[in-house]
Amino acid sequence: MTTSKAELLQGTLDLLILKTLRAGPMHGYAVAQRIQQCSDDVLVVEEGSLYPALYRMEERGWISAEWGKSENNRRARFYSLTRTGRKQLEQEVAIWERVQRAITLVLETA
Amino acid sequence: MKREIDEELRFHVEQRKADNIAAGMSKEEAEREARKRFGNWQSLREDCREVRGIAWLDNLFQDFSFGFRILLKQPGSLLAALAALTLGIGLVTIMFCAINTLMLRSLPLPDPERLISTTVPAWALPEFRKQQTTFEGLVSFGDFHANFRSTGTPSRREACFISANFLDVLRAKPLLGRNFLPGEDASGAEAVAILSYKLWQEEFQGDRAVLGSTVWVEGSPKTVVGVMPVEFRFPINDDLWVAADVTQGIANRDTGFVFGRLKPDVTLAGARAELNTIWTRLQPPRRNDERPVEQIRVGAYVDALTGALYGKNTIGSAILGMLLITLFVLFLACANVAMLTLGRAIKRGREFAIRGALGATRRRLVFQLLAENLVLFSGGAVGGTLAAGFLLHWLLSRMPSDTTHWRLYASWWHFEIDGQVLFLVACLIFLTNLLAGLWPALQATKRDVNELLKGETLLSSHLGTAGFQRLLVISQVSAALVILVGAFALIRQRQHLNDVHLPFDPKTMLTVNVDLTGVADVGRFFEELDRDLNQTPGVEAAALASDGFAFWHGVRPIEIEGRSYPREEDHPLAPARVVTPDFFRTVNLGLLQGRSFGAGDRFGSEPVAVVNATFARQFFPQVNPVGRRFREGTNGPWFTVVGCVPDVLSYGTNRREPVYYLPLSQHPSTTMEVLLRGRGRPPSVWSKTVDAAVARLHPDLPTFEASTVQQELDGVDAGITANSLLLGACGTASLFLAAVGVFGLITLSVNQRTNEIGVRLALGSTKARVVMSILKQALPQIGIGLATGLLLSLALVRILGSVLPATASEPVVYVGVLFLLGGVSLGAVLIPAVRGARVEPMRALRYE
Repeated sequence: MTTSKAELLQGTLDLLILKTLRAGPMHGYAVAQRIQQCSDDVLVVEEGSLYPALYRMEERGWISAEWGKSENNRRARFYSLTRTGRKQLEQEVAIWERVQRAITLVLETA
Repeated sequence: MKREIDEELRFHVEQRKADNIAAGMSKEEAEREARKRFGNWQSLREDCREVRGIAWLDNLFQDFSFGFRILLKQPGSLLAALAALTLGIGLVTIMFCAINTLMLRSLPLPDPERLISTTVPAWALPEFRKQQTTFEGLVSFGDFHANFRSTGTPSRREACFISANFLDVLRAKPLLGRNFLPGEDASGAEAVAILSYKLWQEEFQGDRAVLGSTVWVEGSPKTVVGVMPVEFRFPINDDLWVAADVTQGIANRDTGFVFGRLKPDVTLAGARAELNTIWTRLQPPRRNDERPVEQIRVGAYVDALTGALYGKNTIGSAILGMLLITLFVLFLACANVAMLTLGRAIKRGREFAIRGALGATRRRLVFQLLAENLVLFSGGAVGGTLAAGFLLHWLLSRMPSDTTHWRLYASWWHFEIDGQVLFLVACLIFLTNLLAGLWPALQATKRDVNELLKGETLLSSHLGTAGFQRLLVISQVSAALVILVGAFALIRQRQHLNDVHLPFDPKTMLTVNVDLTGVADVGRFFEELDRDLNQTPGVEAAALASDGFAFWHGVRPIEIEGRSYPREEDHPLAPARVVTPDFFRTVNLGLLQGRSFGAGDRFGSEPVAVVNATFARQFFPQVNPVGRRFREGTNGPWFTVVGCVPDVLSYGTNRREPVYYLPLSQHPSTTMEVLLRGRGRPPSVWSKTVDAAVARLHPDLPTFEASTVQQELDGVDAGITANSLLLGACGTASLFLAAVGVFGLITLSVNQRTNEIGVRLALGSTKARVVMSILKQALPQIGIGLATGLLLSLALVRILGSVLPATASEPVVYVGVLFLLGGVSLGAVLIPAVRGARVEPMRALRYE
C-alpha cells in the first residue's frame, strides 16, 4: 500500500526519533517499531533511513548511545536523548506546528 | 568501527526475523524479508560508516588497496607513471640534497653563525685590531700548498699560516697539546705548528709523543705543539696550522683573509659600520680622479668560501638554476601522471557514474582517485629516492678527486640523503599528488550521470578536457625543450673544453710539479734537473715550464716599444710563461721565425723573449717580430724578441691569446712544472724517474701533482663536470618524459575519437587520410610547444645572462635540440596515429 510508505523528509524523521526517545532509552529496532505503532502503522521507517539518521544525530550530540542487553539477552546499542537533544526536540516541534498550520491555511483558503 | 555497525544492524535483522516468525512466516522467508527491508546492505553500511565520521581512516585504507589493485590491472600505464615519477622525484631529491649540503649546513664549529669574514686586507690587521670593538677577535690567515717533511718522505700539504688566537676565535679545542700562545705569531718568535688529525696519523702513526718534535714546513723547522681532532680541517681541507705574522703578506701568496667572531650583542650592520669607519681613517685622502676605495664587506664565513662575499655567488646561482631545471622535469612527470590519471578515470567513467547514482558523494570519488594516485606517488617516491641515491653515488664517483687545484670541495660537505631531505621529498609528493590528481579527478566525477551512463567511455567533450590535453602537450614539449637546451649547452661547453689543440699527445706527456719555496739557490737546481732529465736514457724530451696547460697564472700588462699608452688601462694584457730552452722541442712547437732560447741567454745577458703567432700578429702586424722589443709594466727591462712559435690552444679557449715565453735562466722561479715525453714506458713510470732525479739533487723536496696532461685537463673544472652530468641526466629524463607524455596524450585523444574514425573508415575514407587528419590536429600542438619552448629558452638566456656558459647562445645548440625533440615528438605522434587508423570500422562503431 502506497500510504504505508509515506515518504518521510529527513527533518521529520529526526523529529519522530527524538520524540520517541523521550520516553526512554531504546535500541534502533525498538524505535522503528514504536514509531510504526504510535502512528497506527501509517509511518513505516525504512531501515535504510533509520540508522543513518541515528548516527547523524549521535554525531551532532542530540542523542547518545551505549551498548546494553536487550529483552532477549542479546547485545544491542541503546540510544537516549541528551540535553541538547531535548532542546532540539522542542525547536523541531515548534517548527513542525508552524508548518502544519501554514499548510492547513493554504488548504482551507484554496 | 565496522564491526560495531555490523553488529547493530544484524541485531535489527534478528529482531525483525523473530517478529516475522512470530507472525507466522517460515525461517527462510522471515530472514529474506528482514534483509530485504534493509535494501542495499553494502551501501547502507557505507553510508553509516560515512556518517559516523571516524570512517575516514577505514575509507582511506580501502581506497588504497582498491587503488593498488586497479593500478595493477593496467601495467603499461602504471610502469610509465612510475618511471616518470622516479625520474622527476629522483632528480629533485638530488637537488634538495645538494642545497641542503651546500647552502644550509654550516661549519662543524660552535656558534658558526657568529663567524664573520671581512674584506679587510691583512696588512691593515694590526690597526684594525687596535681600534675595533665589535669582534671578540680578528684573525687572518693565508692558505696554500706547502712542502712538508717530518720523519718520512717529503710530501705536499695544505697549510695555513694563521694568527695565534685563531683557535680561540673558532672556539675549537685541540685533541692533544695546546693552542698557540699570543705572540707566537710575531715575526722572529719561535716557530710552532699544530697538526691535523690526518697528518698526525699519516706522519706519526698516532704516536702521542709527537708534541715537541720538529717538522719542516717549506724548509723551515717548526715545533709541534698540538694536534686537532679529526673533524677540524679549517678552512676547508687543511692539515697544518703554523703561527705566522700574516700581515707581512707571505711572499708570493695571497694576502691574508681576515675574519672574526662577533661579540654576542653586536649586529652585522654595526660591525660593518665600525670597520668602514676605521678603514676611512686609515686611508690617505684620495685624489679626485682615482677610483674610490672599496668598502669593507662583511658576511657569513661560509659565504666567503663560496665567493658570495665578493659578489660572485657562483655556487648558489648554479644550484638554484639546476633546481629550477629539475623542478621543470618534475613538472613534466606530474603532467604525465595527470594525463595517465585522466586516462584511467575516463576508462572507468561508467563505474564512477554508477557509484554516483548509488549515492557515493563526489568527494568520495575524488578521494578515491587521489588515493590511487597516492599509491602511485609513493611508489614513485620510493623509486625516486633509490634512484637519487644511486645517481648521487655515481656522480660523486665521477668527480675528480679533491687533491688538485680545485679547492671548492669543503671537508664538511657530506652529500647524503638524510631525514631533512626525505621530509622535503614527502612534502613534495603530497603537493604534486594534489597537482596531478585533483584536476582530472574533479573532471571525471562530474555529475552528469545520465550522459555518462549512455556511453561506455566518456567523450572528452563531456569532460571539457580537450583544452587541458592540448595544454599538456604544449607544456610538456616546451619544458622538455628548455631543459634540453640547457643540457646541450653544457655538453657543448664540455666539448669545447676537450677541444684542445695541443701539438703533442696529452695522454703520454707527463707533468710533475716541483716547488722550491724555502730552498736556497734555485736557479741551478732547475737547470741541473733539466739537464739530468734530458740525459736520461729513454727520455725523448723534457723541459720545465711555469704553467701547465690547464691554468694560466694570470696576465701581466705589457708595453710595446714605440707605442704610447696614455692611461694605465690601455696597456694590453698577455700571459707569460717561463720555460727552459727545450720547451718548444718538448711540446712540438716548431719555430716560425727566429730561434729558441740557448746557452747564450744567461742571467745578466740581454733579456730575450719568444712570442707566439697571435702576439706577433696583434702587436707587430705585418712585420717580422724578431728584433722588436717590449717590456712588462711601465719600467721593466726591454725584452728583445728572438723567435716566434705557433699558438697553443688549451683549456677550452677557442680564443687565440697572445703569449710570450721567457727563459728560466733570466727569470728564476720557485715553482715549475716538469714536462716529460718518454719512450717505451707509461708516464706513471716516468714520474718515478723524475722523483728520483729531484731526490738526487735535493733529498727533502717533494714532487706533487704528477699526472698526464690529459688528466690535468680533465680535473680542471669539476663544477662543470657535476653540472653537465646532472643536466645530461635531466635532459635524458625530460626527453623520455616528453616522448611518453606526448605519446600518451595523442593515444588518449585518438581513443576518444575511435567511433568517429570508425564512421569515416566505414564511409570510405582511407587509412592515410585518417592519419593525416589526426596529424593535422596534433602537429600544431607540437609546433606551438616547440615555439613556446624556444622563446622561453631565449628569454631565460637573456635574463640569466652571464651565469650561463657562453655556449648557451650558440645556434647549433638550438638547432640540435629542435631536431632531436621535433623528431622524437613526431614519432610520438605518428605511432598512435597509425595505430588509431588501423582500428576496424565495426569495432569502432560499436563504441557508440
